[in-house]
Amino acid sequence: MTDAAPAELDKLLKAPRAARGRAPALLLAVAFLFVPLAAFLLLPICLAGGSGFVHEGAPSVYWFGRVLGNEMLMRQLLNGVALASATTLLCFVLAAPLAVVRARCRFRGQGLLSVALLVPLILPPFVGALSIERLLSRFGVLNMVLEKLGLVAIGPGQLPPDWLAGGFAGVMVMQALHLFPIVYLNASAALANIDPAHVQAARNLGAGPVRTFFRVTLPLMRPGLFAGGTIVFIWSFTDIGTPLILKVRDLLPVTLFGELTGHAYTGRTFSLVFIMLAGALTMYAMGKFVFGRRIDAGSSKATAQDELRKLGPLGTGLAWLGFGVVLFLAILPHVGVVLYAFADKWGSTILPSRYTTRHMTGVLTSQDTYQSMLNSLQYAGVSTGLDLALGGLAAWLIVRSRVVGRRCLDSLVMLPLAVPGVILAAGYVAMTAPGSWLEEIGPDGRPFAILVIAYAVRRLPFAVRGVSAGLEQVPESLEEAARNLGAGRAKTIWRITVPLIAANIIAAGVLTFAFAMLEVSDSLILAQRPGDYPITKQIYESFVTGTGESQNVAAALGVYGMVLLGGTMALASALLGKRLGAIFRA
Amino acid sequence: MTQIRLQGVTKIYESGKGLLRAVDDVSIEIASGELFFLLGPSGCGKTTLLRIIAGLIPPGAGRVFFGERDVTDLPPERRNAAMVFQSYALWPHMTVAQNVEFGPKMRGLPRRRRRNVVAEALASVQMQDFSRRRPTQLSGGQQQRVAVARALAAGAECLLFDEPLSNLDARLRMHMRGELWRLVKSAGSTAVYVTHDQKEALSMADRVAVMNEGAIVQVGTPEEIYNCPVTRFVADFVGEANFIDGMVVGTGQRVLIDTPVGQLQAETKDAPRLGSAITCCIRPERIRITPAPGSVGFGAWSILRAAVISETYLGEMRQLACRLTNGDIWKASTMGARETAPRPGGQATLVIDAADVILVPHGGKG
Repeated sequence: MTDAAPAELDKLLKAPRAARGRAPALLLAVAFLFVPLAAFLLLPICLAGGSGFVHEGAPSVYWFGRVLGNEMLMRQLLNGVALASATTLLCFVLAAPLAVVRARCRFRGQGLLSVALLVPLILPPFVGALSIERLLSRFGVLNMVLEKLGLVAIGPGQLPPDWLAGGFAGVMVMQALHLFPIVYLNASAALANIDPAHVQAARNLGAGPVRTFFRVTLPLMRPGLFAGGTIVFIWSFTDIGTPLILKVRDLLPVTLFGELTGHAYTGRTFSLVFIMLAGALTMYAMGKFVFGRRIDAGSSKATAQDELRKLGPLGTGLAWLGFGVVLFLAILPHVGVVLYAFADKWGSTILPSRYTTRHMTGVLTSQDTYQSMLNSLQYAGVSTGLDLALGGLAAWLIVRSRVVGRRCLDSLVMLPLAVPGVILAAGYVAMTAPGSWLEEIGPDGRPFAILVIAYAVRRLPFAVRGVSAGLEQVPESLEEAARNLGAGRAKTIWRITVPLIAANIIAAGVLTFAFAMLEVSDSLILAQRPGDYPITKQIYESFVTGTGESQNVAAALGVYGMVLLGGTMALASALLGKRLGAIFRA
Repeated sequence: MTQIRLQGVTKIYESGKGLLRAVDDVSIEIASGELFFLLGPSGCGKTTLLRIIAGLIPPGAGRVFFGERDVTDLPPERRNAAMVFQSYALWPHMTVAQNVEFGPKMRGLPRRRRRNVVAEALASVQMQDFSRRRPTQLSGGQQQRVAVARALAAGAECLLFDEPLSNLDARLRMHMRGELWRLVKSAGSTAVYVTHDQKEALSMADRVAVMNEGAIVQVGTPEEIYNCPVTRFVADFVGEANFIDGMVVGTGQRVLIDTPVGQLQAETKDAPRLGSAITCCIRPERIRITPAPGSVGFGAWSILRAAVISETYLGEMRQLACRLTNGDIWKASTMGARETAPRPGGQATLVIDAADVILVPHGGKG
């Protein structure tokens, strides 16, 4: 094929009629996506990180100097890195073997177990942490069971072990038990994408199963493992809720929380935010572009069928045992929360000695708790509506349109996954600081709008991901056929596209709603007055008050949260089936 | 019925390897009621051209007319050109009847009239008993018929077919060729049909445009395309062909061509220049093949010697692969009995009538 003269080609490529159809899409993108995201995602991030570079009205690294020279803060930073690393490693240990077994073997009940492994995702660690102390502390349930088994002694001069290790281990365990399914999903997907021919070639050339796994399978799985590991690391590094509940104070997010909610924030606070943000984004970039870069294995499609190994009764039993133990450990803290919620009297016994429903009913009759549930419903309801509208628009522009900048839009709407909640919350605090024009909607004013915005921004990636997955499965020819037969764009979307992706929209909506209901970082930091508390803030306040039955009330609220999240996950799973996992993958 | 006219239509894509001319300055006129085929190999631009006609892709340059109406800048829903997609594109969330009813609904027909239109369209493709089923409950052939019914029910000015039979098995494809032809002709619509299957084109088309690398190489009736290809590409793509290059050494009543395997005679209206390089093309079924040398009577025959190297049984005929004296392998088809045909390993004489020698320009692929 020969090229035309440059001038002619230039004319052809820039033909106005070709660009005409893209102009409205571009306007939509700019008006309803780029501008709001710039205002409520990029600006808060910049404010949160940038405010640390200002001292006495001038650009300065003064506050950074104060942070880097502060022994306590540096120790907290290292503690955070250590915690995140330990949590990530524990997730790998829990998830990778299960993913390998699932991908390489065939055994009875494997489908059910795979779905069951998603259950920990719906059990918020913040809620599970309510009971972890009772389970793992020096005089907790675990030591009582071990004492009955004769494995530990409890008595004068005989202190049983503190499994919480000052709380650090408790935080690590809670986080890992909540997050390991993310590593599992990513590892499973990575394994499924490995052409069996690579493994077969290694075996054919003399490598045994173990060597083949470490020299062939694991390197090819690396992008998937790192994708999941990155999410876990960032989440753990910036988690506020779990350390707060377990009273682990020597971490940066906890220090930030204290300064932001105590109206004691200074430039130093935002320097801390910048350091956390830089760490999170660096980790995200390394995970995506360095360690997580796909190894070009030549063919992305399997060129050979892999024979799954059918497990016999013993193998099936062991597989069930492995999956079962991990699942049991994952749900144990939440079983503890349920017991807490129904406990009338729970002293130094393994199980409560008396049960009651008054905490569960009291939540609905007490003004504070009932108000918090109403608040959460309102915040989450409105934010979900925003997410579906904007997320649906973003998904359509990214998947269907040829508008300039759609790759940039894709990165922008996914950015909240990489930016921890505490960072955004700090940004919103900076945006609505006393003296700013948005002060009225800040934590000390009427924070309804800022909470809705915070929830919507944080959950936008789920909505985009959910709707995109649906659009990618609907062939464009179905929409083209409608337009060919006389339907305009809007009518085609309404009559053809929306019905075909309805399940995805509903699933994305219910998941977004449920996770918004149990949002932690923004709720803890932005809701400062009792009348504005959402459920999670109310849980925290009830728990730390620690008087009377307030901890039981906190547990009861947690149970309602778990039921909500469990119900929505079940509904989403019924609607999306195997595709549900795609929403949580990196 | 409407005439379709394309004027200088071009489409260029930017790709990682530079600029790709998917459609290269195409100008054609399709008469009202004509069944016009776009035939070519994969990637030649025929589907791109069809989608430009449908309005699904804007051209980079050129104009598209339906009758006197310039539709170039009209969106697809306003062109009134119903398309049958290669994948059928039947909406899975609608029943067969709802799929077929869509076009009339968009046109604003009242409900009673829509029902009649749907019933007629489904009856024309013998799918009236399946109106309440969903596309996922139908076989490939049934889906294909519903897709055609949907396009017919739209009452469009023209029908566009994007390889509608490519997903069917061979036997069903043959059956559906006849069905489609009957439907299109009874509807009386102007139709543009894209295919890479030359048998489909030759058996159904009123006229065929052969495309290669974005450009139209030749337009003509199936007979013209098959018997009088204007380039080596057309001769090779449409049907099977044997080629040999030579030089024109004599003109007059017949053209004499000197080739590495001997002299060939050709009858042609446009005699090439004496001394020019030329390529001779002979269809396998036009070669008479005998096991023994000798004179074969009067007429403008060319005689070539060959060795038979293999035989392929094709049911209605046998095809022999023959090595010429210069080493080229030619195919010759014979309907004769096996006992009288030359055998592999033996010698053969290829006899070619001058009227069966097609001359195409030397070099280039068209």
